[in-house]
Amino acid sequence: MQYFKKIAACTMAATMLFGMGMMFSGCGSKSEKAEVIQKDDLWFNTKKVKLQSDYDMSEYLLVQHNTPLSVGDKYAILYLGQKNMTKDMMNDKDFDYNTLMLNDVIIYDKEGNIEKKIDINSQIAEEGKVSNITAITPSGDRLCVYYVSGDPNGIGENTNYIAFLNVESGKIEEKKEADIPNSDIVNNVKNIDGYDVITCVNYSDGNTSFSLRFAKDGKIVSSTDFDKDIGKGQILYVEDVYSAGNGKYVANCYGEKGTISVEIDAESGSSSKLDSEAKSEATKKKHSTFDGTEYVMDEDGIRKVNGDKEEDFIPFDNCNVNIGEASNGQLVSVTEDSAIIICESQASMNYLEDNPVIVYELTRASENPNAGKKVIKVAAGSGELSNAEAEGIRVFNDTNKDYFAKLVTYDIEDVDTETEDSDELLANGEKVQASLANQLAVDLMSGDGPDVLIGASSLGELLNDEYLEDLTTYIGGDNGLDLAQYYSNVIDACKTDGKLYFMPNTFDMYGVLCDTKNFDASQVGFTFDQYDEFVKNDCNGEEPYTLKGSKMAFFKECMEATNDSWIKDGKANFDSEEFRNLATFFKENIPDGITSTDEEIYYGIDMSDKKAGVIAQVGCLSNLTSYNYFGADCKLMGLPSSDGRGPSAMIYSSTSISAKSNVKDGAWELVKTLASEDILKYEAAWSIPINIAAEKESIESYMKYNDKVVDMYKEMGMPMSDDNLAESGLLPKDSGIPEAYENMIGTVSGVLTSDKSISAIVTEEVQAYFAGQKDLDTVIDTIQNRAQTVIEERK
Amino acid sequence: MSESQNKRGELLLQKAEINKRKRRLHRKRKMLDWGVFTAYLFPSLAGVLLFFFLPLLMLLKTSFQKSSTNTDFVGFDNYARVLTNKAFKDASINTLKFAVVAVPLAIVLALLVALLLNSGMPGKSIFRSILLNPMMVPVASIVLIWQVFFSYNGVVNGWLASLFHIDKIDWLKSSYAQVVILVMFIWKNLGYNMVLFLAALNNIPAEVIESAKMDGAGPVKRFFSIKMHYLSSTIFFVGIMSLINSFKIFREVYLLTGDYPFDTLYMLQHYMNNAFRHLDYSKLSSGAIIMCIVMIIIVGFLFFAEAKFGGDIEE
Repeated sequence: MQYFKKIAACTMAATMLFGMGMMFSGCGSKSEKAEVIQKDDLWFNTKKVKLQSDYDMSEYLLVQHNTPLSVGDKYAILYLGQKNMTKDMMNDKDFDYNTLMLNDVIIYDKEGNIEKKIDINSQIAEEGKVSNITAITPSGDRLCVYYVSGDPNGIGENTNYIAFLNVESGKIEEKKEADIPNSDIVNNVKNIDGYDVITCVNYSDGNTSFSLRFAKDGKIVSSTDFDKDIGKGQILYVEDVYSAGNGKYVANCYGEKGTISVEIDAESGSSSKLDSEAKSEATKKKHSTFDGTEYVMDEDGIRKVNGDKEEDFIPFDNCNVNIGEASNGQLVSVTEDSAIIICESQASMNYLEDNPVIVYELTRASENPNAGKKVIKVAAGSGELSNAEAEGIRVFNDTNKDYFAKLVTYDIEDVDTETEDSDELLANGEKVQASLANQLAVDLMSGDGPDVLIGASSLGELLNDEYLEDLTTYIGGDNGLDLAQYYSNVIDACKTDGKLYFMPNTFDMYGVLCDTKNFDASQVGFTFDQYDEFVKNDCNGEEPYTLKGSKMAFFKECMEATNDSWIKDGKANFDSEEFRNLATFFKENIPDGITSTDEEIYYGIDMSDKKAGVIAQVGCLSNLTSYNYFGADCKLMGLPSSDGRGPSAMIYSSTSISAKSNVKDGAWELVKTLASEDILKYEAAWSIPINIAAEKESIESYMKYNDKVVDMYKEMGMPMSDDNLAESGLLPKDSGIPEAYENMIGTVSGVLTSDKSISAIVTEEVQAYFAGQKDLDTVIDTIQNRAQTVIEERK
Repeated sequence: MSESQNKRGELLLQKAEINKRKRRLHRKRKMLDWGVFTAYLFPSLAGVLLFFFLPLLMLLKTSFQKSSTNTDFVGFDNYARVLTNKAFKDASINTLKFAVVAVPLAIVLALLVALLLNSGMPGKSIFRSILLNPMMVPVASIVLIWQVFFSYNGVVNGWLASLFHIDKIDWLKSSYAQVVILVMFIWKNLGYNMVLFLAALNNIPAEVIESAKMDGAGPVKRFFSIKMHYLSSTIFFVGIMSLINSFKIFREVYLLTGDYPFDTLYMLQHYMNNAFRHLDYSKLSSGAIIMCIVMIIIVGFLFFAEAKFGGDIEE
C-alpha cells in the first residue's frame, strides 16, 4: 500500500511538472513586426468610372437619377426632374406641364462618356395626360420602362404602362398597359436579382395598402396577397426589398405595431413573417445570381455561395473600392476573374449638380501592386464606416506608397429596442457600446487591436495612455497639422487632461437655440441661475428639454457636457460644488418630462408657436432652417452648468491611433487624410467637418442652391416671408444666418462624452434624490463611494 | 554426507522453492489489486487532472503573461499590479471580515440549534424541516425577498418607521450592508449545518456520556471534554463548507447590488468578476492565484487544528 501511494504521488508530481513545463513553454515574445503585403497576395485591380450627367442645373429645379443599370456593355441611367417654372407658365391654362418634366435615359459607354440621351417623355406622352416614369429595368438588350399616365389635374384614374426601349436606336418599340389593375399605382420598381420587384399602392376606400409584384421582361410572374398570408391590414407600408437568394426576397414593412419583415417567394408570391434574427441575417447581405451561381455582397466583399458555405471571391481588402459605396451598390456582372459593381456616390449632397453614379470594375491581377507596403489595421467603433471614412481609406490606399489600410470588423450586437421607456432604451444602447469598448480595450492593450480606431470618441473608457496615443505631439510635430485650417476650439475641447486621444473629423453642435438679443454678446451658455431665469421669464415656465425628453436624459446630457468635472487627478469628484449645484438645480427646477417612447411627440417645429429656446442639435446649415425662429439673431447657448460654458460638440467621426501600434507613422498619415478637406467634403452636408475650408464650401454650396430656389419662388409669386421660407426649409437671400452659424461653431467649448460605468451609477443613485427619498449628502456619499471603486479597480 | 543430512537439505530446498512461489503469487495478487484499484480510480483522477489541475496550471500561466492574447512573460508584474491595487485590497479586507464573522457565527448558531433539537424537545422534526427550507429556495427568490425587506422603501424600514419612529436606513448602501448580508448568509446555511451537527451528535457513543455522568461530570464538562472532541471533525467540515459558502454569497450580493456595490459589500469576487467582464484575464488570474494561496493557508490551518484536537478520538 505504501509503495502504491509513493507511485501515485510520483505520477501526480511528474504530470504536474510536465504540465507546467508545457504551459510555460507557451510564453514567448510576440513578433514586433507589422504585416507586410506580399507580391502573391490576392489583388483585384480597381477601375473607378464616374457616370455623371451634363444637365445645366441653373435650368432645373431638381434632377435626380434612378437606380443605374448595366445593359450589354453599356450603362443606362434614368434621370427624372423638373425644369424651373415661371409665373407665366403657372398662369397659362393651356400650358403643357410635360414640357417641364425631365424623363431622360442617358446611355454611357464603359469609360463613362455619354453616348446618347434619350427623351422618353416625348415618346410616351399622350395628349392631355401627364406621364410619370417610375423606373427602368433591364430586359435583354432593351430596357423596360414602367410609367403611370393620368390627368394633370388628378381627376380620374391613372393607368399603369410598360414600354420597351431599344437602347441602340433610342426608340420606344412597344407600349402596353401593364398587367396591374389601375387601382394599384406603381410606386417603385427595382430590378433585384433577376426580377423586377414592383411596389404598388392602393388608395381605395379611403385606406392605403401596399402590395408587391414580381415581373420578368415586363410580364407579371406573381403578386403578393399580404392580407391572406400575413393578416388583414397588417402591412401598411413597404419600405424596401432585398434578395435573400434562391428566388426568395425579404421586404421590410411597417405595420400598426411597428416594423415587420416578410419573406416572399418570387415565383408564387406567397409570403410569411420573419423573426428579427432571420431578418437581420437576410438584409445584411445582397444576393445576386450569375450563370446559375449565387453571390452575396456585404461590407466584407463578394463571396460565392456553395451550398451552406460562402467562399471568398473578392474581399474588399483585396481591391481598392470605397467600401461604403460598394457594399451598398449592386453587383451587375461577375466572371471568374472580374466583377462590376454599380453604386451611388456617397459624396455629400451637392445641391448644384447631380451626384454621379460610380462603377467599380474589378479585375484579378497577376501580382499585388501594393507589395512591400505595411498594413495598417483600421477598426470602426460603431461597426461601420461613414461615407467620408470609407473614401478616406480608399484615397489613402491609392496614394500612400508605404502603407495600406485594411478594415477589421468588430461584431456589434443589436440594441434591444423592445421597450416603451426612453431611459431604458438609452441604457440598452449604452450597454452595447460598453461591451464593444471592452472588446476593443483588451485588444488594444494586448497589441492585437487595430492600429487606427475610428469612433473612439464615444468610448470614454478607452481615452487614456494605456490604449491610445496622445495626438498633440503629432499635431505639433514636423509632419503635423496647420491648426489654422481647423476648428481648433473643438480640437481643444476634445482633450482629456491636456491630451488628445482622438482627432475629431465631424461633429454636431448641441445646446439651446435662443434669440441673441436676449443675452449679452459675451454669454455663451447658462449657469443654473441664468437657466432658471430664462425658463421662468422667457419660456413662460415651459422648460424646453422636458417638453420632448425626460428629466433623467437631460441630467445625463448636462453631466456629459461637463464630463471633465467628475474625475480629477484619478479620483471621483462628485462631492463637489459643481455636482451639488447640478443635482439641486435639477431637483428643484426641472420637471419629469416625457419618459415613454410610446408617447406621441411632435419633433417638428410649429412656427406659429414660437418658443424662446429650443434644444437643438445643429450639424449643418439646413438644421437652422428647421429650428430657427430667430433668423439671423439665433445663438446656440450651452446647456446649464456651473460655469456657464458654451455649447458642446457631439463628435460623429473621429480617428485614434493605438498606443501599441507598430505603424504609428503610417497611422498618423491616415488620420491626416481622414481630416483633410477633400475627404471631409463627403460629410459636410450632414455634419460639421473639422476642416474649416470643407465647411465653408458646404455653406457656400447650400446658399447658392437656396438662393436659386428662393428666386424661383419669387418668380412664381409665392409668399416670401421669413416664416414662409422657413416652413419650406429655406433661408432668405443674403441671410445673416450662415454668419451666425459660423459664429456658433466658434463658441463650442466642450464635448458630450461620459464614462459609461460611472454614468450608470450616478443615474441609479440620483433618482432617489429627485424622488425626495434621500438627501443629497447621502446620495453623494454613495455615488462617490461606488465611483471611486470603479476608478481604483481600473488602475 | 549422511542420508538424514541429504533429506534435511532437500527439505530446505523445497521450503525455499515454496517460499519463492508464495512471494511470486503475493506479488501477482498485489499487481492485480493495483490494476483494479487504478482502473476504478482512473476516471476520477483523469477528471480531477483535466478539470481542476490543468485549469489551475493554465491560470498560473496566464498570471505570468501580459494578457490572454499576448504571451509575453512579465514575471510578477501582474501580481504587483493586483497587490498594490486599492480596490483589490478593499475587496480582500471585506471578504476576510465577512468570513471571520460569518463562519464562526454559522458554526456556533448551528451547533446551538442542533443541541437544542437533540435535547429531546417536542416537534423536533417540524423545526428541522422549517430550518432546512431556506436551502431549497432559489437564489432569485431570496434576492427578491431581501429587496422587498431591505430596500430603502422596504418592509423593515416601514416597521421601524411605524413602530419605533426611526428614520429610514439605506440598508444596502451604508455601513449596515454587511449585517444584512450576514443575516442572509446565516438564514440560508443554518439548516444544512444544523443537520450535520445533529448527525454527529447522534453518533457520540452513549456509554461514554453515561460513564462520564456516573463519574460526576456536569453537562458543561461533558460537552467540552467529550462531545466537542467527537464533534471536532464535523466542526472542521462545517467550517470548511461555511468558508466556501461565505465566498458564494457573492451571487446574492451581485444580484442585489450590481457590479459596483457600496464599498463594504465589494468582495474579491466583484473585483474578479469585473476583471472578467473587462476581459482583463491576466489581472483576474493573478487575483485568483493569490486568493487560492490564502485559502490553502486557511484550510491548512484548519486541518492542523483538526488533527491536534480531534486526533485522540478512537476511529
